[in-house]
Amino acid sequence: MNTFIVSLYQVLDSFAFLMIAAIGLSIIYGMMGIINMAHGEFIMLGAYITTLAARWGLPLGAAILAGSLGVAIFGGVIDRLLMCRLYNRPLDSIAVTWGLSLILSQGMLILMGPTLPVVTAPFGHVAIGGSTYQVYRLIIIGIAFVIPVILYYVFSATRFGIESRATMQRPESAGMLGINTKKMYAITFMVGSGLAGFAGGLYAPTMTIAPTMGQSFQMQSFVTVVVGGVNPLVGTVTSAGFLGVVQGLVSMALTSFFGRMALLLVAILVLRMLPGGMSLLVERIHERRMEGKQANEKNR
Amino acid sequence: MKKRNRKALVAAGMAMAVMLSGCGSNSGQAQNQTAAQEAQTQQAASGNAGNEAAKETAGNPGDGGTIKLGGLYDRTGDFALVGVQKYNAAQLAISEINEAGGLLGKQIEFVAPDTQSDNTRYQEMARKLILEDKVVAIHGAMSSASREAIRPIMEENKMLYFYNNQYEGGVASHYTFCTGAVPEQQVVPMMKDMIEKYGNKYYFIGADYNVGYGTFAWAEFIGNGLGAECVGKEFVPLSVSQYASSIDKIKAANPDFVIVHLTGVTQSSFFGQWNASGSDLPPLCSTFLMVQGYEHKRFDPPALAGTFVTTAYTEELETPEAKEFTEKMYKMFPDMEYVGMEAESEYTGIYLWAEAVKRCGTTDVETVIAEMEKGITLEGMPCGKVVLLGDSHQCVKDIWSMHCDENHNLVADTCYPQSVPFWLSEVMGVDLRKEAPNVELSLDEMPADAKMPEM
Amino acid sequence: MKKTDKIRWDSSMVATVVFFGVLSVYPLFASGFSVLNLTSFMYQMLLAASLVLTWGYCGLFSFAQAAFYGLGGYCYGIIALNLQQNALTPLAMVLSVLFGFAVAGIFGYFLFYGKVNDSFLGVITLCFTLIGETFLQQTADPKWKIGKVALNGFNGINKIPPLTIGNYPVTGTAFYYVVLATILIVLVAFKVIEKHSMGYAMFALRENTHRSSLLGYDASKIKTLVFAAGGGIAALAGVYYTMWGGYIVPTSMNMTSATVPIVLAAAGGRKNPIAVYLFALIYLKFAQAMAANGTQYAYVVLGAILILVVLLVPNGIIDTGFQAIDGFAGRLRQKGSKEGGRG
Repeated sequence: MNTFIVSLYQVLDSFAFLMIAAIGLSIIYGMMGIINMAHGEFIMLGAYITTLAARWGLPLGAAILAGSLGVAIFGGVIDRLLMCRLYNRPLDSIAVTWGLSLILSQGMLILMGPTLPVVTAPFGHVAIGGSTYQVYRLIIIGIAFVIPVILYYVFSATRFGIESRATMQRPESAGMLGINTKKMYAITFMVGSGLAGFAGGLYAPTMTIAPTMGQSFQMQSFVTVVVGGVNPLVGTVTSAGFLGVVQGLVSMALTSFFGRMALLLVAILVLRMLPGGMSLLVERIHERRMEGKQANEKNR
Repeated sequence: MKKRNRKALVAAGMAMAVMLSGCGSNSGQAQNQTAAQEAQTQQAASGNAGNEAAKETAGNPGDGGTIKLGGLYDRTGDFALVGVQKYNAAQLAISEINEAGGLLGKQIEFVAPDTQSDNTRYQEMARKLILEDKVVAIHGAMSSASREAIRPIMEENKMLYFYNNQYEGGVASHYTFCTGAVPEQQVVPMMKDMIEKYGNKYYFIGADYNVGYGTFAWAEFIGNGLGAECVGKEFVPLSVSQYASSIDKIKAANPDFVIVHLTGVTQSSFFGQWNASGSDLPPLCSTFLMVQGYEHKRFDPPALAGTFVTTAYTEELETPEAKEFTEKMYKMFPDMEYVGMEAESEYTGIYLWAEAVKRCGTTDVETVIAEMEKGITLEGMPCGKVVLLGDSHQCVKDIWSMHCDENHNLVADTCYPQSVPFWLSEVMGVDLRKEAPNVELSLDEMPADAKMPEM
Repeated sequence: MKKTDKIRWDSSMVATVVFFGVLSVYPLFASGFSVLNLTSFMYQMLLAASLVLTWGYCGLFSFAQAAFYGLGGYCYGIIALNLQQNALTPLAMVLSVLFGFAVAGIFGYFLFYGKVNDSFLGVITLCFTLIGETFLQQTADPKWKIGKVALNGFNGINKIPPLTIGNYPVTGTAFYYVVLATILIVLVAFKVIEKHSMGYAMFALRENTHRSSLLGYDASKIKTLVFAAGGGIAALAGVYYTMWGGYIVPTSMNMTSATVPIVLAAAGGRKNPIAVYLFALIYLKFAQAMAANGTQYAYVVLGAILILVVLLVPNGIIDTGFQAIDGFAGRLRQKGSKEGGRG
C-alpha cells in the first residue's frame, strides 16, 4: 500500500511541476503561435523577485504574487519592445526570444552574482502511510489542480475569456467583430509571463536560486506544450497528466535521467502519431461522441 | 532601397556599439566602417590577423625583466564560484612574491584569460598561452574534464602544468603536478569517522559524471576494507533540480549515513529538499561539500547542519597559518564570498613552483621538473607543512575532518597529520622520476593482487 | 538551365574570390598559432553552413546541428581509437559523416512525415540536443564502452588521432588546407544547388510549404533529405573539431554550442553562405578577444546581436550589405549607360 502512495505522490509531483511550468508557455503559444524560448528565464525572474521580496520582509504568499506581477509587467514591456513586431513571424520569434534568454540569464549573473541565499519553504512535513512528505510540495500539487479550474472559469464565463478563445480560433473574424486582436495578444503575453513568474516564485523555496535555474524548467515545459497542442487548457492538463505518469514512474523504476529520456521519446512519438497533440485527440473524441449522440437521437 | 540601407546601417552600428561596450581593448578595428565596407575590410584584416596577434602579446620568457606565468581559471560560467577563489588566491601568491623582490630578480607577469567554464575555451587559451604568450608554466583548471582537455596539449608542447585542485586521483604525467587532495587523503578519514560515529551502512548519491563514479569506487573499496556495507546508490544527472524520488529511495534504504557527491549549482537544490523531507534523517558526509561551493553560506540553517567534510584548509579552520591566509585573502579581496579549499591549493601550487625555480635558478621546464622531482618541503602554507613527492607529483598535507553546526559554521573535529597520497606510487607502482606513461589511471585498473597499506 | 549562364560578378562573388584568395596564402606569412586558430574558425564556419542549407535554403529552423556536430566527433573518436590504425582515419571520417547523415535522416523522418509545425521543430530539435548532451554526460560509468573505447561521460574522450594519410599525420598547415578546401567545396556545391531544381524545390518549401505540396512537391521527402544533408555537414564539422583538438566532450552539444551557429547564420545572412563565412570570422575573432580579456559580457552581446539582427536586418548584416552594394552599383551602371546612349 505504501508503495502505491509513494508512486502516486511521485506522479502527482511530476504532474504539478509540468502543469505549473508549462501553463504560461502554453497560453502564449495557443494564442499567438509563438514559442517563448525565454520562458525558463521568465520563471527565473519570478524566482528572483520572490526571493528578494521575501528576504526584504514580505510573507511568502505576497512575495510570490509580487514575483508574478513583476514578471507580468516585464512581459508587457518586452511585448511592447520586441514581440509586437513578431506577431506574424513565429520563426523569427524563436530566434529573438532565444537572444532574450541569453541576455536575461547572463545579465542576472552580472547583476546579482552566481547565487542568492534561499528562502526556506514553510510548514515542515507530514507523515502519510510509512513515509514523510513535505507539506509545501503537497500544497503545490493542490495549486496545480486549482489552476485548470480557474482557467476553465475564465475561458468560459468571462468576457475576456470568450474573446480570447475567439481570437485563438479565428483571429480575422474576431477582429471583424470588433475585438482588438493586438491588445489581446499583448494581454495574453503579459498573462503568460505572469504565470511563468508565478511558477518561479512557487518553486523558489525548493531550489537553488541561480541565473541558470530557468534551464531546469525549459525542456520539460517545452515538451509538455508540444505534446499538449494548441489548446492551453485541455492540452496542458492532459499532457501534464500523461507525461507526469510517464516521468514519475520511469524515474522511480530507473533514475531521473531515464525519466527525462522517456519524456523526449514520448514527445517525438506523439509528434509522429498525433500531430495535433493531445488537444486534437480530445477534440476528435469529443466530435465522435457528439456524432454518436446525434445518430442516437436520429434513430429514436 | 534606401530604407533597407538605413536599417542595415543602424543595425550594424548598434551591433558594433554593443560589441565594443563589452570589449576592453584592441579588437575594435572595424569601428568606423559602414556595413558595406565591412566585408572588404575584413578580408584585409584577416590577412593581418597573424601579424597583429604576434605583435599583441609576443614576448620571450625572462625577456625585459619579467617572467610570464600562465593561469586558466573559470571566472564566469557554472564553475565561477570556485574559479574566482582560485584566481584570487593565485593573484595573492604572485603579488606577495613580487613584493618580496620577485623570482630570480624579475617580476612575475600573470597572464590569465577567463576560460568561461568551457572546455573548448580551455584548449584555445592553453594553446594561446603556450604558443603566443610563451609562458614558462601554467597553473589552473578545476573540473577534471577541463584538466583532461588541456593535459595532452601540455604534454605535446612540453609545458609545465600544475593542477591545483582536489580530484579523483590517477594522473601519471611527466609534465603535470597535481597538488590538491586525492581520494585516499580524504575518503579514508571520512569513512573511518562516519563508521565509528554512526554505523557501517551507507548510501551513496553522486553526480552522474566522472568524479562521482570515481569517488564511489573509492568509497566502496575503502568501505569493504573497513567492513562497511553499501545499501544503495544513485547517480543523478547534473541538470536535475528536483529530488523527490531520490530522497524517497534514500529513506527506503535506511542507511546509517549518506555520502553526498552532488556538484554544481543546480544539484545543490538537494539540500533544502532533503532537510524539509522529514526529521531524524541520517547525517550527510562529503569530500568537498561546503569547502568548495560554500553551500552552508548560501542556504539558511539548518539545511546543512550535521554534514561532515574532510579538507586540508577552509576559512573556518583555526590554525595560525589558516587564519593568517584567510585574513590576507579578505584584505586583498574584500568582496569575496568565501575562501575555501581550492584557494589554498592554488596558493600552495604557485609557491611550490616558485620554490623550485629559486632552487635551480632557471625557469626552463625540464630543469624545474627535475628539481621538483627531488622533493620539496614548504612550511607556513595555509594548510601548514606541505611536502611535494617526486615520484607521484602529489602533495602530503594535513587533513582535517570537520562538521557543520546548527549555525552553519564549520567546526574542526580531528586532524590526520601529514596524510600521504599512497595509491599512485605504492599500489600502482608508478615512479614518475623513472617513467611517465602520461595517462590517467583509474581504480579498476588496479592489479588484482594489489595490497592497500594498513589504514 | 542555360549552359551559357555566365557567372554574375556581384559583391558576393567578389567577396568570395577575395576571401578564399587571402585565406589560401595566409599560412605563408602567419604564425603557427594563428594558422591553428583560423582552422578552428573554419570548421565552425562549416557548422554554420549546415544551417544555411537547412534554415536559409529550406526554412527548417534546427537547434540540432550541434547534436550532429557532437555525434560526428564522438563517432570519429570511437572508430579511430578502436581501429588503432592511424592510416584508417580517413575511413573513420567518412563513416562519421554517414552516421550524422543517417541519424539526421531518421530523426527527420519522424519530424517531417509527422508534419510537425515550424515552431515545434525548433523546440524538438533543442530537446534532442539537450538529451544528447545529458546522455553523453552520464556515461561516466566505466561500463559505457563501445569496443575498447570508454565514453567517459563528462570528461570526454581524449588522445584521438588526427587525420593521417598513410604514415603522414595531417596537422598544422596541411590540416588548414584540408578544412579550407572543404568550406570552398561546400560553398560551390551550394551555389550549384541554388540553380538546380532541387534548390528551387527547397526555396519553394521555405516560402510556403502548403502551397508547394499542393503544386506537387513531396514536402516531407525533400525536407527529410535536406535535414539529413545538414546533419552530414554538421557531423563533418564535428569530425574536424575532434581532429583539431584530439578531444571530444559532451559540452560540444550544449546550449551555447547549439546557439552560436544560429547566431552566425542569422546575423551573417542565412541565405548567403559567403556572408555567413565572413560574419563567422569577425564574430569568432571578437569572441576570442573578449574571453582573453576576461569580460563577462560575451553572452549578453551574443543575445543582443541576435535580437537586433532578426528584428532590424532579417536577411543578415553582411548579406544586406552585399545587396546594398549591388543596388548602388546597379544604379551607377544605369546612369552610365543612359549618358552613353545620349552621347
